[in-house]
Amino acid sequence: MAGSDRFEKLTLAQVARWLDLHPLEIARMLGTADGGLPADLRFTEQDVDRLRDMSGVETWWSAELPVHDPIRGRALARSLAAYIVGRAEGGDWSSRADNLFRGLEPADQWVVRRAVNSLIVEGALVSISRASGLHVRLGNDGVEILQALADGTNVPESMEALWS
Amino acid sequence: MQSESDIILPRVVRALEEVSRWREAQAGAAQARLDEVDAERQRLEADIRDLQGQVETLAELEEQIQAEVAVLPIEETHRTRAAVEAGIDAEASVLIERDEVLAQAIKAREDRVAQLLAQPDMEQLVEEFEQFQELEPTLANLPVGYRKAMLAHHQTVRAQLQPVMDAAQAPLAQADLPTEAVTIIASLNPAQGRPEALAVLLPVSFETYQGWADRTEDLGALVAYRLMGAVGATLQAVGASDASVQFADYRGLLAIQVWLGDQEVQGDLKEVFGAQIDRMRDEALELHTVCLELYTAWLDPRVVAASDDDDDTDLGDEDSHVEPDAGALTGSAMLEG
Repeated sequence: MAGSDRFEKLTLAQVARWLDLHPLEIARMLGTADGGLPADLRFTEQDVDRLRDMSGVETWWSAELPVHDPIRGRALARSLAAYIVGRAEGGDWSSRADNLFRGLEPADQWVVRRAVNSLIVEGALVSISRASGLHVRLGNDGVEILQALADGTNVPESMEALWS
Repeated sequence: MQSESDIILPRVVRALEEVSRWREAQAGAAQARLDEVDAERQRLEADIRDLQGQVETLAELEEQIQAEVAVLPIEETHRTRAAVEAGIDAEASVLIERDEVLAQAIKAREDRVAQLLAQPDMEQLVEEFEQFQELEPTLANLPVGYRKAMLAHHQTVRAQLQPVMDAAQAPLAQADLPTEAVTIIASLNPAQGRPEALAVLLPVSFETYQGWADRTEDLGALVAYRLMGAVGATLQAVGASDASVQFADYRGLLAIQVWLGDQEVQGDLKEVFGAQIDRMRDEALELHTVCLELYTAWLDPRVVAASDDDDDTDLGDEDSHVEPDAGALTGSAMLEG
């Protein structure tokens, strides 16, 4: 770290890297916040925490998948379903779409993104546009479809191509 | 013997001959007048043919002018588009020039901090300051006396470092330059009535959006952030906070596109957006630093729509919205691969 960097605030691009968001996405959010964008576009770590809360950024994935399956792609898809079902207990659930794959390695992200698209096609999930970015919520029978996927009792055919 | 002239005709015969001569004279005169009338008619008919020809020529000319008038809006659109493209390219160059000014101002601030850090004992103070930051979360575990002593020492260190912090966080110095202005092109589709789409074209490289992670945050990026903030604030003010926003590559420049077709827009979007731009112009420190002002020009959506042979730069309709989640415009959006 350069000498001056120790005491300087963060740029919006740096904040975006911290939060794994696009800087224009953060700019849009700041525009809707009280006071809008600051006169000086530099940010403290406290600002980063505030922006993380505003954006709804979460990291679900860790090294250990919640569902074990001999096929990696299917394990990811079933784990994704398990994560959503676990968070959707009240029924009225929505999340930033990128929370569904944040923290995964690129190859695993590729599978999960397509699994999400497949779940949208199946009607289990519905995507919605929000000021803070693209979100998803449960579709009709979403919990049932996701639960069956998590259990491995009914994997949508459209997903099979992801790991076959 | 009497000569013929001496023949004395009876009076009746003479009278009849007189009538005959009169008739011949009258007929001759009438024929002469008829010839004149005929000549005049022929002359007039020639004139009429000539005038008719002129009328037909005028009709053709009128048709030609009307055809020119009919294509005037199209020609105006082409010329306006050409003017906008030339203008915005020139203004993109202005932004690049002023970005160098911004970079110099940032460098000057960094140099000032480096100068302060180069003073005696500063290295030791910075080291202690950083050690404290690492230890701070564990302070609560220490005995009160140690904690107080450490906090007191930290306050001393912090006070000695305050000039460095002040210098690092000081606003950038304003350049001594003439003020330049750049234009933000905005367009509502349709131009009148309930808006279905808003397009905002910036004199900023599309790479600001697409390649941001690999680029230095330059003046163009800051302008893009400001505009995106203004769009977000505008959407919130008109009750369309959740409108889908996409980013498009318009001849290498960044365009922000907002789909409003599924939103109930309340109020005058143009007025609200204009107020946001005014606010930005007043507040944005980086714009003040480089003596730059932003203005908005509202154009007909046809101006920023693509020509037939240039359909990758269309800002004018819903179909032009680009990845990552173009599906959001018509239904359930898919995630980018």
